[in-house]
Formats: sequence, C-alpha cells, structure tokens
Amino acid sequence: MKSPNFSYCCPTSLAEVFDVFEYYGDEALILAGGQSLVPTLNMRLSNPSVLIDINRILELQGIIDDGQYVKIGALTRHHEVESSSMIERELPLLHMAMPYIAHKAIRSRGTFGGSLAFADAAAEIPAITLTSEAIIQVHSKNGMRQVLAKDFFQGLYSTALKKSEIITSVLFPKNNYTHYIFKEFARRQGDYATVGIAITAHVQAKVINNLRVVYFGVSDKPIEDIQLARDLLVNGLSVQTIHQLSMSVGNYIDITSDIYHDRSTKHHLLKVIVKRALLELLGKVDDATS
Amino acid sequence: MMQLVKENIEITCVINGKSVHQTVLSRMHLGDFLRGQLDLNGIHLGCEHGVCGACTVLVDGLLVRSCLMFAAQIDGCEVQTIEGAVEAGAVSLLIEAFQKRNAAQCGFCSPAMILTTAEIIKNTDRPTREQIREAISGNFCRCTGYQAIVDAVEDIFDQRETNR
Repeated sequence: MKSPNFSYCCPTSLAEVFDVFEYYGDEALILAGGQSLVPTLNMRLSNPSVLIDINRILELQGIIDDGQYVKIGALTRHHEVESSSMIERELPLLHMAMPYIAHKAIRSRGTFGGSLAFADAAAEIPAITLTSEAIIQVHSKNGMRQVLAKDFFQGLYSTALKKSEIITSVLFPKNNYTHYIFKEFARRQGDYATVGIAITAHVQAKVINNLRVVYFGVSDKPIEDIQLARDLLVNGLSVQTIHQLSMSVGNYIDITSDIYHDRSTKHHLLKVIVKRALLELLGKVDDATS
Repeated sequence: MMQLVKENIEITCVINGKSVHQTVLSRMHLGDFLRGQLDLNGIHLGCEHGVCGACTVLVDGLLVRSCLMFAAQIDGCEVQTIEGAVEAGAVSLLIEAFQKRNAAQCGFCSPAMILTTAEIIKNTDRPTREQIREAISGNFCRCTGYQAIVDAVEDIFDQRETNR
C-alpha cells in the first residue's frame, strides 16, 4: 500500500504546469487535494511518472463574489467552502451539501476542482454544480475555455477535460431561487451516497415558477430529471401529485448498480428520496405562505 | 523547465513544536515519514488509503490523513501528532476519560481517535451522541463498538458543565 515511484514537482504558476504537461503529456497527473488520487496510487491503480503538485499555486485558491457569480477557485478546500459565510448566504444549496462530503480530515485537504475532475457519480459537488448551472473554467497552454456543468460530466469518472487541461475555477450564478433541498442516503455518515437528490426551486404564492431536480449516485454521472420538473410545473405541488409522481420516478433513467446495491434497490430508494424531498419542499412552501 | 525530483527532496517544517530539516523520497507519504524517519510511532497505519483514519495528524491545525499526503508536501508546514498533543498537555483529560470508560482496548485507533475527538471538544459546545458519532465516523475502531468512545467524549462535556 505504498505509492509507486514518481517524479515530483511543485510549481507556483500555471505556466509552469503547462510546461510540464507539454514535456510529459499523459504521463503527468495533477495532484490537488490528493484525497482520491493518493488512494489510487497507494493501491497501484494508477502509475503516473510525474505528479504536478498544484497546492502552491495561489491564484487557484479562494472564493470571490463578483456580483453576478460566486467564483470558487479550483484549489479551495472543502472545509473552506463549508465554513464560508458567503457560500452560506449566496449558495445555500452548496452550503447544505458540504457536511455530507466524506469526513472532516478529508475535507481539510480535498479540493473543489479535484472533486469535479474526479467526477465520481455519487459525489456531492458534481451534483450541486449541475443543479446550480455552474460554469467550469478550464485552462490550457492555449488559454481558457468555459464548460457548462451539464456538458462537463460525461460518464463514470469521465469529464470534458482534455489532455493537458486543468480546472482553474467554477462560476456559480447568483440566481433567485427561493427554496433548496438536499438529501442523501448513505450507510454511514461521510460515505458516498447510495442515492442523493438536490433541488432548487423558485416558488411564489405557492406556484412553482422554476424547478431543477438532480440525482446522484443513481447513474454513471449526476443527472437532471427534466421530466419530473416539467410534471411538477404542470401539476403543481401537492401531497397527491408528489405521491403519484414519485411512483414513476426513475422509469426513464438508466439506473446503474454499485458494489453494495443493485438496480432495483437504487430505483426503490430513488422513489423514496424523491418523495421525501418533495414533501419537504411542500412543507417549506406551506410554512412560508402560512 | 521546472525541476522534477524523485529523491533527496529537502523539507523544512515544524513537527510537534520543533524545527525539522530532512530529505525525503517523492513517494513517501507523511505517515511513513513521521514513523520511519522521526520515530513518531503514535501514528498508526491501517489501510493506507484514507479509510480507517488511524494515521490522522494535524497539519497547520487541521485534521488530515497522513497516508494521503506526501512528506514532500509538508515543506513549510506545522505538524502535530499525538506525541506533540500529549507533550503540550492538550489531551490529558481525554486520555483519562478514555481510560476510565475503557474506550481504548487494543489501542490501535486510539491516538487518532483522541486527536479527532479533541477537535470536537475544542469546537463544539455540547454535541449530542449522534453528533459525536458523526465526528468520529471517519475513524474505525474494531474493538469498542464506539459506545465507550462516545461515553468518554461525553464525560468531558459533563465535567465541563460541572466545573462551570
């Protein structure tokens, strides 16, 4: 359980990162928080010849509110996002999800960009990024490009990141949703979700104007349930519609098993969590108007 | 072009309050470094892939898994291990409570468990048993069933309230 041998460098600028990429190409991997990469090294599941430690690149760190977006630097640690009062105020959904990410000792090191680049289908940050319609900023030697979250996650551990590219920051639009729901089932606090759900909604006078529903841990990437959102917009939010719609949830989704749970278990749990999440949303809407 | 290194990486850091200058291999993780080069054997290596929590130490005041950081990365950092915490007298009440409640049986998880629970004690007013369990959910104990550990942590808060 020791990492294989590798050459190490610790650049302080992006330009240096691209230099190493140019020379070593695919043989070089980026080391950010290391909370997923280092286990794969220790278990000999990956064997890069070069590790580029980006932990000293200051421009990748920190959270900024520029009025239109909240920009989270790729190297921002989970514990910083978790304890940020700006995130709590501006991105309540993200704030709700942070304590679910692994354990405290992992959140000390794990990074925002690292979680996106790793793209675990059951992870919280990719799901919240998708729910929030965030924009992922990616740099290469040739400059910067922006990728929408819905285009970024492409399948199991695979993303739109190309060779020699690095995630530098994520832009979260400051939108005016009124309600946020986050739920997940896990066998143990801190484990990856068996199934999870994130909802943002804009509700006015008990009428839903806008709603986004995203599941994670269900398929090979976080997935948005456009059909459920549309049905809720058409039918409105009531106990009856919630019971009815949650019955058919997932019939149109390619649910994949994981090592502990088969498809039918996941499908059942998805229906349960959708029902609970929507009932909670209904409860919040009723509270706000009563 | 950046210099790439595999061995003889020089690091200077503060470990348990003392300045340390050492050379390390790139592939050496922090836990192996602390045990192998500095004889700090209170760090226990269980799974070495970030699951069991037995290797937990504090780096710049934050709990981290020492098996998931490379020694080369702690250049300029401050590290505290269970040895340092004991020397500083920071965990004496906890150790007493662990003994009293029989919260350490084989002792393998105990150093990391004590560092982890010390953080709850420092940062929380009066956690519920559920919250204590959540806080130690990243540290495996295969003897106690956790009950005794939660009892020990609760004792500290009880003492705190009686002393008020």
